[in-house]
Amino acid sequence: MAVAALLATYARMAVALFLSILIAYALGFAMYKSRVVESALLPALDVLQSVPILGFFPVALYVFIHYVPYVGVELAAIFLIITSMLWNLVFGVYQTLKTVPRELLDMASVYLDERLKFVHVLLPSTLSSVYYNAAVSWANAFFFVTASEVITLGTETRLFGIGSLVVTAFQEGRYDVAYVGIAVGLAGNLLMYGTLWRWLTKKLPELPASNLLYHWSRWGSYVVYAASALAVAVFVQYLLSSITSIHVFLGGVTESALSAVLSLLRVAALLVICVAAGVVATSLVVEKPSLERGVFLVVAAISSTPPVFLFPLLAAYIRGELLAILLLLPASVVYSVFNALAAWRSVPRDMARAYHIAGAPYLLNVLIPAVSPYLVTGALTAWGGAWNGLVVAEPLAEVNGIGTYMTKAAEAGDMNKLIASVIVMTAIVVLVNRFVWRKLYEKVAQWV
Amino acid sequence: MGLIDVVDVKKRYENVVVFNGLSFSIQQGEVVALLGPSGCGKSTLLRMIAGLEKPDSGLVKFRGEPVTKPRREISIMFQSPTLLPWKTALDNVALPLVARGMSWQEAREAAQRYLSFVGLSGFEEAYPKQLSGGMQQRVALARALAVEPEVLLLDEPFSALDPLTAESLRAEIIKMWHDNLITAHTIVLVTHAVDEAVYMATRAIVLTPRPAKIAADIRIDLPYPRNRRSPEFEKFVDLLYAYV
Repeated sequence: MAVAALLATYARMAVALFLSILIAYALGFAMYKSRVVESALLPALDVLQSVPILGFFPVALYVFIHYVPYVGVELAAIFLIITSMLWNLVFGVYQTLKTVPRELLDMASVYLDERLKFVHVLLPSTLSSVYYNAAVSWANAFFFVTASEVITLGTETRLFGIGSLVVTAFQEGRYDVAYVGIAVGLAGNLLMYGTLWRWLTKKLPELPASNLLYHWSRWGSYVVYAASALAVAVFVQYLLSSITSIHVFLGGVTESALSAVLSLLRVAALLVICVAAGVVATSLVVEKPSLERGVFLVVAAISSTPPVFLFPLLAAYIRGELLAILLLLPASVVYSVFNALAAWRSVPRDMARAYHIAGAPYLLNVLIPAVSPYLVTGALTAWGGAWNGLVVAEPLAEVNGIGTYMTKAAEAGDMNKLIASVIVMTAIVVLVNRFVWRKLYEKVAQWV
Repeated sequence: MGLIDVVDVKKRYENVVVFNGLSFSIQQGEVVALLGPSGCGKSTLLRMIAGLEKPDSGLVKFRGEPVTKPRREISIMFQSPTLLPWKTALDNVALPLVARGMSWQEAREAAQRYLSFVGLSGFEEAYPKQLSGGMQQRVALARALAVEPEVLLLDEPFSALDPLTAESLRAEIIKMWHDNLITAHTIVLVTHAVDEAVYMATRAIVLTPRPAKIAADIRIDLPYPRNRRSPEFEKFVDLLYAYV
């Protein structure tokens, strides 16, 4: 049962990954080839990747079920997974193409034609980034797919998968089933890392059908634009038609803004924990570089446990606020710790030791400033992860906040309130990104 | 017993034996150049004297006391300036003084003096990124001198600079030492440039490839400031080249 559920979940992810890679090549090459496309898509992708997509899922669910009978719920899930997988793949393809050495391109234009250049120069140079990012996307998507399965539990249509299996079993008191489900899920992920991802990132096998990919790299972007335009049109049309009462909608905006204050406090507390964890981890590794691997593995293990899996493990002992924050932790702490760890080599430890800078002066003048550029990046990503996490963590922990508000509205089928809450949440995230994180980022970026 | 004694030092990194029992002494007032091919362990040796690294066995002693961690009497200039990018030139020099218990105000006053000593007055508020490589290395020199050490260790601090900048910095450091303008009476310099060793040092110790042994220990008794074109200078260069 658990294995079947895991396979169902993996099947969704595999379809989404395949489509994501196709989209990534289409958009990556389009941006690489045209300045105009580049300057239009880069800022758009930047905003899109910071949007808390899980918040959109309940809306997407209604839209897909409304327009596509029977398989709508599956399509909604795949759509959600794509939006969780896509961005790093697109940026990965784009950036590797941008950094192909000039001499190689010159060589290609002297000796090769367009098609051979694509197959033998451009495509191979993207492989390592695509495989690496596919593994990252897979881990990322596992978090979202299990969450999306759980979100459907409140509605009439359901998704069968490892996430819904674990939470249903736990809530029905069948703890053994829940724990077996968690074990199977974690084992599956370990297996994927030990075999498929390791093999792909080490061996870098060539992609099949490179000639088809060549044509896709030239024309695929138009397909993607058309599909996106269609999706946007359908969404907007559905949203406009489902805001039945401006009054209720505006009431929803106020209510969700108020409940968002609670969520905001929760996220702030979480970020403090994340930043502290990042600083502590880095100072440990700076003192004792041999710890790096250990810290890395521990954090990787924590992060690969989605809140949906953590919930049955924790809910038996902890409730309320603490549970909510603990459920959010894996989705966020990983970013701050990994980013801060990346900085450990740039901490001038020898200089500090040679000049006897220790204790508070070391912490304030050396360690924290040295890791802050990385820590800000990490905290920014953690911040995005936290808002996504809220949508599942708050209702599971039964605390008030915008995530709970959203889930209740979705369960009640109250589109006015649901859409209001999604808009409020997106606005908070995008505005804070723009006015807080970007400022902070520019400040610390001066140092590196 | 010398000011610094290296006593039967052994060190290996996994399978690579860097030192298998190395001993020598450095006397107060000397400028010692450690010469040798890349990877022979010169820098490792200097880092041991600085207390940044420990030998597997054997001892490094300062005034007869084992060096197990960095000491206040010894300061070091690294190959790269290792300035904190988020601090001004002034605060980069002041921070080690604050770490020694000065207030920021006192430390900045002292730092100011040393910055102008190395020819950087007017650049106190500049951030490292705004300074050229040579100026950054001067800030690092000011920092190394400001802590008023007895021994100054130089870990190839000129190797990343352009030849002209490197030459003037060499000349200035050796003049400061020779004219007793700095507290450091003893200098230990790591280099792979024979010419640099003969230009600066009173004594050159040539190391062999790993495991490093002393191939030659030569006193260079030329007067300062040294003239690269003099036949005596060239004689020492030729002599050292015979061992390198």
